Parts: sequence; structure tokens; C-alpha cells
Amino acid sequence: MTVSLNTMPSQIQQRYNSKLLSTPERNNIHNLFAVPVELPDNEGFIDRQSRYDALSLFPVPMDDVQSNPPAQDLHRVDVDCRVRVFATYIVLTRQVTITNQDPILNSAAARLGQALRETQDVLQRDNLESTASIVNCVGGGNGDLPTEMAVSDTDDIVALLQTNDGEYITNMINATRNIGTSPLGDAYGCMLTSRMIPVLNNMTGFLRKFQYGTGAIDTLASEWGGINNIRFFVSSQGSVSPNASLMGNDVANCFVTAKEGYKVVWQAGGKARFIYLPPGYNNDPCMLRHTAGCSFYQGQCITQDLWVQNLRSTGI
Amino acid sequence: MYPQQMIAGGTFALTTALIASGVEIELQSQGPTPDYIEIKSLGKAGAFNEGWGQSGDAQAIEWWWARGMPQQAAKGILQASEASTPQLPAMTAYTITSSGISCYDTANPPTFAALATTAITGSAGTYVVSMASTGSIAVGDYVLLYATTGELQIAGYSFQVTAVTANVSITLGYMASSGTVLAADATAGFVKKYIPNRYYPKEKRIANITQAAQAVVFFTEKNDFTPGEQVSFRVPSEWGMTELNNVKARVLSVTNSATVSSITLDLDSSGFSAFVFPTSAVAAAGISPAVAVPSASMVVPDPLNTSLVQQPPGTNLLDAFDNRNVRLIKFGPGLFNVSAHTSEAEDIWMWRAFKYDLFNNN
Repeated sequence: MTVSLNTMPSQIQQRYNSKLLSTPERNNIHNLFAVPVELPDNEGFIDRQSRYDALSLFPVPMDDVQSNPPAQDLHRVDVDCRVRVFATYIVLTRQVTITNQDPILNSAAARLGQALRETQDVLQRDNLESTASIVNCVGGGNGDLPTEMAVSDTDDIVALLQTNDGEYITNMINATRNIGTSPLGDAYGCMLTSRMIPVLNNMTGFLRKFQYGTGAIDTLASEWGGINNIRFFVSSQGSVSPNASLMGNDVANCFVTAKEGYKVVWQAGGKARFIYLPPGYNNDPCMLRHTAGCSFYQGQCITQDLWVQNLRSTGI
Repeated sequence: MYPQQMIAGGTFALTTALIASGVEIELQSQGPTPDYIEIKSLGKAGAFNEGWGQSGDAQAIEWWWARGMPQQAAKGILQASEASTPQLPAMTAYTITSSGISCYDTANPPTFAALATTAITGSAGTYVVSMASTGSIAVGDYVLLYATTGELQIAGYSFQVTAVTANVSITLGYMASSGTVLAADATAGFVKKYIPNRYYPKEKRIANITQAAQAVVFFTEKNDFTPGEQVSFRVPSEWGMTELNNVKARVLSVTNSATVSSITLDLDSSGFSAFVFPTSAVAAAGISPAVAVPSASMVVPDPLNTSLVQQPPGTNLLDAFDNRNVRLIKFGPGLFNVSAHTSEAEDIWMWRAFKYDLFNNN
């Protein structure tokens, strides 16, 4: 009998390659500009921070008899943020962990970690989507409402945030002598879906991050570029509202924030945790199942509504 | 027992509102979806001979949904009206494909197909949306209007439904009660039902604002605001009352009735310019919406006299920013009013949800 490929048993045809394939991981962008706040344990589950409103100016001079001027009221408001618990887990039978050819619990830990971080990001995204002020792009030319984002829209947002006394987040990037580079002004941060990349690239004057005076130094993988006074950070899990435009097209919610516009709250004793339980726990008398889980406590909210704007754009 | 084996159950009592809107049951720890859900009519409390086996009253008495069936579908039994002795009502096996049983989490809700509309009565201020098919839209549902012919100023807007006449029309009652009247009706467009996530409190689009010593702000859907909360306004110039743009004000009282969604503010708008919903042409040229966004907490007003502060002074915790998403089983209104078999207010239904330890799909 001739021995050929056709007669090789399947076990011989195959080799299990222990080098695992990459799992897609999303850019986590929505907590980039959040002020981190720690809620101490045993002090409730709602974090309250307060703000004293600015006093009125007093441009009227004292009269000649030097009467006291009227007193002003000092107003305080509170911003409350509730912290919630999030958790997930997987169950693996011991039979799997002792027969599988790669260390599956290691992969389980990695995937749980990824899910945890991406969940933290999505929580902030949904918070911004739900509570941020809305500004429609109107400078584009696609005839929809909002239109696709244009330079005039980004300039309008910068003007709005400046008028609201929002501080920039990053400092100016100076020009250099390198060919193809340009300076970039002090900048607010914008978090948006990667579906907006063609719209960004199409804006006149948009700088890809390789055109920054410093090149890509001091930038993140998620940063796509900038224009005038906004730097853009993209993620495949950026916010999109389906069919939400005048014409029924998908709308990208592009969150532009100034410094200290929003926050993320973590419980001191409830930070990200990996929890492994070997066989024998949870009514498992025959020691047949492992569990691997993760948990975290998180709350998130906008702390100054004037400093976080949802610049809505179509064209995606 | 492992959580994936959990069996949950309980009862709920219908009301007239729930018959129209359906019933939501929170079921947090049942995994992505249960494998089997069933509900049975028990009749009214203390009336054992009602519901299942009731004399002379056509009604659905049982529904179930099993893994593998489409969301919103259900199979069940309809009991005919029959009053003879001995009572032998006919039972009819029945299937519905929408407004039945579904299970989802509100952070990742199901999506729905767009439905066509042929008219929206904005010029009468009634906001009745004519639709040859109303699909699974029920009272309380959120819908998005878009691609309208005319009435572009409300295209892209979200509304809550306050009345449904099946396969004839839906009514956007919160918009209607705001008093806003548009110049002309829409003659075509699309209506898409959606389920919003439950972040709280949420930004809301403004339908109207009164000029008064205590301004009243109306919304297109129910609002999350609470007395004592500080709300911040964005009113672009196309909307008239620009004096309110970027202004913050304290909420004195809140209305969230079946047809009215509004807040009364500790703010005198009597000298402000009138709030004007932009025309369709202005919207087509490009505008941003007028919105109210949650801002902060202030002291809580006395509920009996909102001009005074509650005594002892109270601060508001109800307005804490929160993620209120949940996992749900939704028993749609199609279960309680189907093919002339109608349930009644105070009817009690028993529900049970199962998650099999082993699902054998041979």
C-alpha cells in the first residue's frame, strides 16, 4: 500500500501551535480625561463633590461716606455620583484545564482583564452620551442634520468651551524644522468613534499625529490627530446613535471636553480584581469546576456640564 | 447550585396602564437569557374562579417562550368565552411574533425595524402619527422620527408614545401637551422604536418653555429630574428664549403624568423672549436642539410651598448620577390583548423563568 498524504491519520496531519492568535482589543478612550476620584470604604456609595459659584464682580466704587456695600451670597452646589458594582465570571471544568493543550486559565485571565477595562470605558461612554450637552455639526455639506464635521464646527466648539471658561487639557505643541510637521495649539480632548476617521482626514487643516511638531512622541495609540485646538482620540467602541439624524443616518457622538469636565469614581476597596476559585467551591463536592471572575466598583458623571459637549456628526 | 441553574418566579398584577404598555420584570442574575419562560393567568386576587377556567370571559390564560424562539414571540393558549354548566370553554393554541416575551439588558437592548408614517399632525398640535403598521409600538415606548417630508424640526427627535391605535396611529402626547404647534404637517417619514439605556438623570430635549414667574419647561418624553436638582439649559438663538442659554436653575416641582412631562423652575422667565420651536426651513438650514441637562444638587424645596426650603433643610440624593441599567424580562402588551381576548386590570399573572443546567439540543 502506498503511503501518501491521503492515508495520514488526522492526528499526524495536525500540529497544535501553542502561539495563540491575537484577540481584538478596543481602544479605551473615554476615561482618558476623567478626573479619578477614590471613594473611601465605609463611607456610603454616593460620592458628593461641591462647587462654590463665582461671586459677582463689584465695579461700583464706594461712596464718599464710605457706606458698606451690599453683601453677596456664596452659593454652593453638590454633584453626586453613585458607585455601582460590576462583575462577571466564567466556569471551566477541571477536565478542560487538564486536557487542553494551552494554559486556558491564563487566557481566561487575559480576556477577563480586557472585558473589565473595556466595560469601564463603555460605562463612561454611555454616561457622556446620556448627560452631555448637544451641539450639532452644521458646517458640512452633506445636507443632513447634523452634517459631517467641518473645521467651522470644531472652531465653534472651541469658542463655546472658551466662552464657558473651560481650560485646555494639553499644552501647545511647538513647530519643528522637520518636513511635513506643524504646530498644534493648546487643546481640548475629543473622544469619538473610529468610523469618524475619514471625516477627520477630510477636514481642511487636520493634522495627523505624525504631523505634530514632536512627531508621535507623547501621543497614545488611540490618538488620530488634531486641528487647531482639539486633539482627537478614536475607538471602535466610540459612541454612535443609530438613525438619529434628520435623514435617519447614524450619528457619531464626539465628546469634546475641557479639563475637569467629568470624573470616574472608584471604591477604595473595590478596585479591579481577578478572582480565581479552584475546584471544590460553590457546591462542587466532586471538585469538577474552576471559576475565574473579575469585579470592580465604578461610578461616573459629568462634574461641570458647561465643559463637556457632545458634538454630533454624520458622514460615518 | 450554580447561578446558571437559577429558577426565578413571582407574580404581577395588571393595571390598565400595564395592559397597554406591557410588564417589565427585573431578573439580574440569570445569565444572558433564560432558557424557558412561562406565565399563567391566576385571575383576580381572592377570586380563584377567575383567569384560568373563568366563566364567560374570553382571555389569554397562558404564554411561554423557549430558547431558540425569536425575541418578542410567544406561544400560548386563548380561552374562549363560555358560560354553560359544566363549563367547557374552548382552548385555542396561539402564536404571536411581536409584543410577546423578550429578555434583554437595557445596556444592549434589541433593535427594531423602522416603520413608515404618512402624516404627523404637528399643525394641529396633536402629534398623531399615522401608520399603516404600528408594529410592536406600545404606550410608553420611545420612538425616533426621521426622514420626514416636512416638519424637519422634529426629524431626528426622540419622543415617548402616549397612545396607540393598532395599525392606525400613535400619539406623541408629551409633545402635544407642551403647547407647541408647528406650521405644517409632515406627509411622510419613518418611525423607529428604540429602547434607551438607563443612565440617570439624562439630557432631555425641550418641547416648550413658558414665560412666567416660575418658568415651566416641557419635554418630548418623561424626564428624570427631581425637586431640588439644578438643571442647565442650552437654548441656541433659533429657539427664541436665548436668555436661558447656559443658565442653571433649580427644579421646584416635577410632572411626569401619562401625557405631561415638565419641570417648574425657580426662575423668572416672564421678561425673557418667547420660546419658539424653529420652522422646518430653519431646521433644514442647520440647528442644534434646545436641551436641558442635569447639572448638580441644590436644597430641596418644601413640597407644600415650593417657594420655601424644606424643613429641616434637605439635600437631594435622588439626582445622583447613576447607571440604572438592568436585565429584564419584558411581557409585551400583545400577551394581554390579543385577537379579542383581553385581560383586565387587577388580573394576577404568575411567571417563572428557567435556566437549564444542561441544554440538550439534539
